[in-house]
Amino acid sequence: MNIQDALDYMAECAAQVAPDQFDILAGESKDNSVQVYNGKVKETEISSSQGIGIRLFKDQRPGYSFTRKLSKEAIKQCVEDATDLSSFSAPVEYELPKPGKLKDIDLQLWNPDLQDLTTDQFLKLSFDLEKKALKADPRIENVLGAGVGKSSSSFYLLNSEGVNYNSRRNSVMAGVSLVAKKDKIKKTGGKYKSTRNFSEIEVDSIVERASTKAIELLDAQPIKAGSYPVLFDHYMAPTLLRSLLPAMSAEVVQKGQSKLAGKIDEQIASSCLTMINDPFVPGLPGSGLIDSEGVPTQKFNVIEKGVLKTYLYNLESARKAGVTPMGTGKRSYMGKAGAGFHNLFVPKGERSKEEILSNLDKCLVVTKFEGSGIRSAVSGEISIGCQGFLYSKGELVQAVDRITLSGNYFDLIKNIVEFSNQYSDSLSSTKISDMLIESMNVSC
Amino acid sequence: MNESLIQKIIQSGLDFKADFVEVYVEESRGSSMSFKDNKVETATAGTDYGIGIRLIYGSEVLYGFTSSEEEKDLLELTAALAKTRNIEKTSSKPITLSKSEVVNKHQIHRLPSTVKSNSKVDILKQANNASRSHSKFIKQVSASITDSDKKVLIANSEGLLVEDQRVRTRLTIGVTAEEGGELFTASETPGALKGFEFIEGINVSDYAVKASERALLMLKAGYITGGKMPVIMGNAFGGVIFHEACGHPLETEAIRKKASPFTDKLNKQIGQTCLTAIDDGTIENAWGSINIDDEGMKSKKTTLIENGILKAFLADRVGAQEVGVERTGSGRRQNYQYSPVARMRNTYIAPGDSTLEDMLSSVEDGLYAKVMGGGSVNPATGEFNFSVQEAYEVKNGKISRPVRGATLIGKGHEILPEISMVGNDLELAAGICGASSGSVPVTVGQPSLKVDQILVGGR
Repeated sequence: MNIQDALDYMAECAAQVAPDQFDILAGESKDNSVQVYNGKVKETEISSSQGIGIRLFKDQRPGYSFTRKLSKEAIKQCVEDATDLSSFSAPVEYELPKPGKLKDIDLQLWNPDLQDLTTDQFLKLSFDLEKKALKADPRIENVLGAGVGKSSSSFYLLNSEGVNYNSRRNSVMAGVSLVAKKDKIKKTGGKYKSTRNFSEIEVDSIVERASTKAIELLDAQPIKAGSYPVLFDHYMAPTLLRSLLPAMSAEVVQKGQSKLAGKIDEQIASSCLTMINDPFVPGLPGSGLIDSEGVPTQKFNVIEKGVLKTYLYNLESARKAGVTPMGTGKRSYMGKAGAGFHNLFVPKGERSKEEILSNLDKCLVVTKFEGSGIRSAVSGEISIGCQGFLYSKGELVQAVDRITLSGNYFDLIKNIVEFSNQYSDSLSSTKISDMLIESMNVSC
Repeated sequence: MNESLIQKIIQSGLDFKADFVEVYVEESRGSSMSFKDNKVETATAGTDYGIGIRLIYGSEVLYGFTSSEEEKDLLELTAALAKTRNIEKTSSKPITLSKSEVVNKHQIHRLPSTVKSNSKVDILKQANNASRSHSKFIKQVSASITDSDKKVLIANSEGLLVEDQRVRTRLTIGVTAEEGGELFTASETPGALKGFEFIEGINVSDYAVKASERALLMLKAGYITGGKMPVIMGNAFGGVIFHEACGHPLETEAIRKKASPFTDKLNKQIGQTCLTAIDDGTIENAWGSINIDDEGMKSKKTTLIENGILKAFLADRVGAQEVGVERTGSGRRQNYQYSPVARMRNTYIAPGDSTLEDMLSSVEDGLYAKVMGGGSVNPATGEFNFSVQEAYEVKNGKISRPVRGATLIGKGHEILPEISMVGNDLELAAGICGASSGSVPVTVGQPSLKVDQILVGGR
């Protein structure tokens, strides 16, 4: 049965078990991709997947179940499982929302032209990427993979209170990953460009970025241990700050696992840090008119000039805190709701990265993390291997690797000095420009 | 899914001149119950179902998957895959599938579907109570039991038709300790290729107390000054470093792309003679064991390194062909949404004859990394970075104060020769490994080890 029939049938089955309330989420995705290696096609993939899940409340107790098998028997079983499991959950007080007014805006998440792209076009582009990557520089010894793919997905939500919503999105992605070698030293570099406009995929620019990333670190050496001003570039700053976000979840706060508990309206960060939840930016992956619990989304500041203005709520934590849900519930058809940003924006600063660096006697610019290290939103601890560059008054001193940066998130956000005026070109839901930290500890 | 449809798909792939055709059918039932904040937080169940079709031309893989079991959809998917190579359909020689019986080495006594949810709630409460009663500084406990019952069918154009059932059960306990505004978390995550008898057979309270003690200890721990030093790595989950920094580069997926420092090192000395490392998919009921791999081959015990000499790579069908080695029954995938590649199963460093005391007494100033946290590696360069969950300074041969925030940094192939002492206390630990064919259950393990020098990140 198709996904719409599955939704209707699940709603029918749910009504028969007479729950207090229920909501049904479903998703469908289609992908087509190719990967080439060494002048040959390595893998071609064509896929489709779908799934549907129910959250059902009986006597105010929620039960969850999902299935990727869309047969009548499987859907009926799914509703029965959710009903049975609800009897073991603790009762909750929140209620599912009635349909709300959605913002009238075209989020531009679907480009019909992408659906016409063919495997032949992907293969041609992939071989081109590989060929150009191998020729980019004599130090490129191996191209680990070059590939292109497109994906499309649909999201469906309906609940017992009348919410019935669906949306769809698609994108195309191309990238290359390579190895550069000098003497016995090897460094990898990669660039993957995701877009909703196929003509924006520029082979030369992808290859240039991937090869530069590998080559520029070939001569890297550790620097002397000590304290350094550190600038996380506009790829690494989002990665670093994203790990702190769980501390802003109201549920985490309510369960005693956040050091931001009790800090609303307090200065928790440098005054140059403002964090905006913006679900209405056309084209960005986090954009949406409704959250996954059926609440219309909103744009608002979570941190404003360093002051914590709100936590991020789902229906349950909002009810517990006595606040109105703001459309930041996040869940898949497979389980319980959390809370999070749609698109996270930190407003850009005024100066370029180069201008910022030119004023500093020394500054470590971090362009790569080695693994995930320790980045705990609970304790705040940061300890992570990094690669990058040492600058002095805007001049490059050396490439750097085999160092560890350490500190604490809750100190780090107080020590943000400045953001640059440039975001990365990634199709990302987190937009944070280069971020300068006054001082961090380097060991090696 | 009936055998005649499977046969039709395979025949269709051969009609499109594929050298090899495989159909993988999977149906799994899973459930999870989690307890947090002194109550059952979620109770979920799920069914997953899908079919993967793989056509191989030389070493080129065409892979498609769908959750539809309609004949029309499946034959169309096969044709769509072949169309990407512009291949015209012809008529191929009819194949016959011959069913192979799997010898089940891993007996399951209590299928998850037969367990009442009440029994799970009782165990989760036990974990919660054991942690909270251990100390007033334990502020939050989350405990969950997850289980899965997966049935797979693998058939291919060589006539193979084989079915297997994999049942896994895992307990996860996470605790948060708090004192004076400082927070620290620690966890324990035992699991096995077993039914609910696994949970009934372990001491849940012991695991809860162990996690609590670690969170409390590290809450008060100081920071270590980073630098190069000798490190004694604890047993069990300490094996995660070998898994990441040496295991992945020994998979044919890395070797075939020359993206491994071990590419040309077969039968060469890559470590000291005290080092022997094994990947064994046959350990009875171990979390990472499999009767057959996801290409239908019987699982094996593979010696990777013997007395410091590299003896084997882990190989799947295409990897074996590309690298020119034998398959090792290691073709694995998370589910039907992935094409299989060589992956680890239960990987460990074999025990030696040193005691922990021997190792400690040989260190004047270093680190005892008793329990490792997570980490990752770049297989192409061998660069790795791991966090340590529980660590102590070692001073003059003795364990000294606990330290937090330590990370271990290095390159796998450069660290191997630095392993100079291997302990006699081998233990295994369950984990989940993510790579190109998705997340698969694996066991890591090792006895305590001494690494003569490694870069420790700290403050």
